[in-house]
Amino acid sequence: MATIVLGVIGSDVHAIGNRILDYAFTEAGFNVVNLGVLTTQKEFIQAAIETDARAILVSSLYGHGEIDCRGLREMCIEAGIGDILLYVGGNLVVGKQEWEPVRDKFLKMGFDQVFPPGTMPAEGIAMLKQDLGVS
Amino acid sequence: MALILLADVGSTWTKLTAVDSNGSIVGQASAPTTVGTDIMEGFNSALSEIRGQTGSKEYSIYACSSAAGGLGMIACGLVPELTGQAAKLAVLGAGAKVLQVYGYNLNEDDLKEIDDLRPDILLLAGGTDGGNKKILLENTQALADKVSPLPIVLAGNRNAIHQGSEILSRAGFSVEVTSNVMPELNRLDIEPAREAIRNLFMSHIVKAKGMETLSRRLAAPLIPTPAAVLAAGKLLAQEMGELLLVDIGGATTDVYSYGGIETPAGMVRKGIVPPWDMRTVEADIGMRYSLQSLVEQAGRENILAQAPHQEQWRQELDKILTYPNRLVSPGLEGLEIIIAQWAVRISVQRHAGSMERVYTPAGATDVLSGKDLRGMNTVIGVGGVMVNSPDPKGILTMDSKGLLPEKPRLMLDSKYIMAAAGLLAGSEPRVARRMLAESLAAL
Repeated sequence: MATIVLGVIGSDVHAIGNRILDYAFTEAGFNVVNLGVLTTQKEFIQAAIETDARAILVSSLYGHGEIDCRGLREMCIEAGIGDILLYVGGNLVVGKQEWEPVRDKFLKMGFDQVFPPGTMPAEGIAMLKQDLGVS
Repeated sequence: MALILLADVGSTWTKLTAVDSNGSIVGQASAPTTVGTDIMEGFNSALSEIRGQTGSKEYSIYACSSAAGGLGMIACGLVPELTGQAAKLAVLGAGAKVLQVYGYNLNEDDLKEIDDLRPDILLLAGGTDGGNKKILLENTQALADKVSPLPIVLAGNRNAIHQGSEILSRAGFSVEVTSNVMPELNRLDIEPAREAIRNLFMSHIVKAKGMETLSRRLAAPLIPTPAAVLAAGKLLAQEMGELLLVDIGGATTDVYSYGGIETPAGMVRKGIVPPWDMRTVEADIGMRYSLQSLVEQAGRENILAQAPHQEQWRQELDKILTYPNRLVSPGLEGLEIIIAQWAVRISVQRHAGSMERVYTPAGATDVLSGKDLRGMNTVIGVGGVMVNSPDPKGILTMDSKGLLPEKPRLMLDSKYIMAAAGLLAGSEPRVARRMLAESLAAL
């Protein structure tokens, strides 16, 4: 059973989606380490090290995702877990921006998968199973 | 019926308390601890005084000790804020002194330092259950290769401890394998590790000449003194609700709290959920040997600001800073009270968690970490500094800011029996409760 770290990054208190993801990924057979809301980059990384997680799933619902997520990949590399899978999803930017450039921006930041608003958990679960090579 | 004799073999004094089977204190005596020759000398000299007081020759004896530096331990974890902190809390909760805490891979310098420090026991943790195994195994290998054998408590990832234990045993270490101090992220489970530490202390640690002779005469295993105090406080908290104990010493200040782990509605908790019964030790806060750092923390001018005659206090402070064995001059006890008050404030402040208001687009949210001491009903002063002070109430009075106790009643362990009562907390709780009731005085 693969361990994944889940949390809502930055000064973001949106708790409901986080609980839904926790439930859905647990049901799908993952060992979910849920850090909840108001999670810093450092907390994500420390949790991933201690639990030997294979992926970090970052949520951001309040529009400040870009600034909160910047540098996360570099910090993982610095902490010795540079190969870990990084997923991000939610309302990543303020306003109704075109999706493609937003996705590219986060991919360039080092995220492996970027999910737009309204993505169903099943989609993320399928993608993660594929990326991890588990069924 | 035989009386119960409770011995607290301290670093400077050996204190004996005799109680009858109802828990009434029938004798108390103390003598200097004779750690240089044989601790039984001091013990026997206090005992003969007790015999004189009680007329009894037969005793059922229980003892705790902090002589010869107490139980000195090293804690190792993986991430310092996670299993590193969990390992440290387990060590403190077992009544030990923390000599050093390490995180991640032990490097050559760390290994050399461990070999030089020669701890009585090393607690090795790392990884949640099913989590990281690599670092724990690499650390066991490094210890096996580079450090002379010493007693180890292995309390890390359950998927790695047996392999780790084998590596260490083969190298001649005595290993006690126990449950993970942090089985899941941010959830502590430190009681099994505390238990394992007590077992090793009992079977492996002989701190001073005469300790074995004493051990053979005991009705229950010898335990570290802070472990006895922790047990006494727990017994009290079961009756009195959430409480805080503060023990100011010459070199350190110990704080024990029971409760304060709930997350109030509307707040978000971050980090480790602290243990319900938690002990912290401030090694830089004490009335004599750590006075210099205490004064630096408090601010010299802040201390002197409360003096009726500043110059007099200034000179006196310099004298006790230079000569730690000196008592304060008659008439200047006020200085001692103010210093002790700062020791309490600083130590309790550090023991308490923190609350930070975070402003989010959805409004302000309070983020809590560590212990919330606001609901502590009672604060009890323990130890010689408080008992011998003309104003223990003044010493224990704190501002109720942040997460500090809001409106606690203040009490004093007036007969200095907290550790003694703790020795009976497990086997004779009724007797222990009676002793505590006799000693606790409202301030």
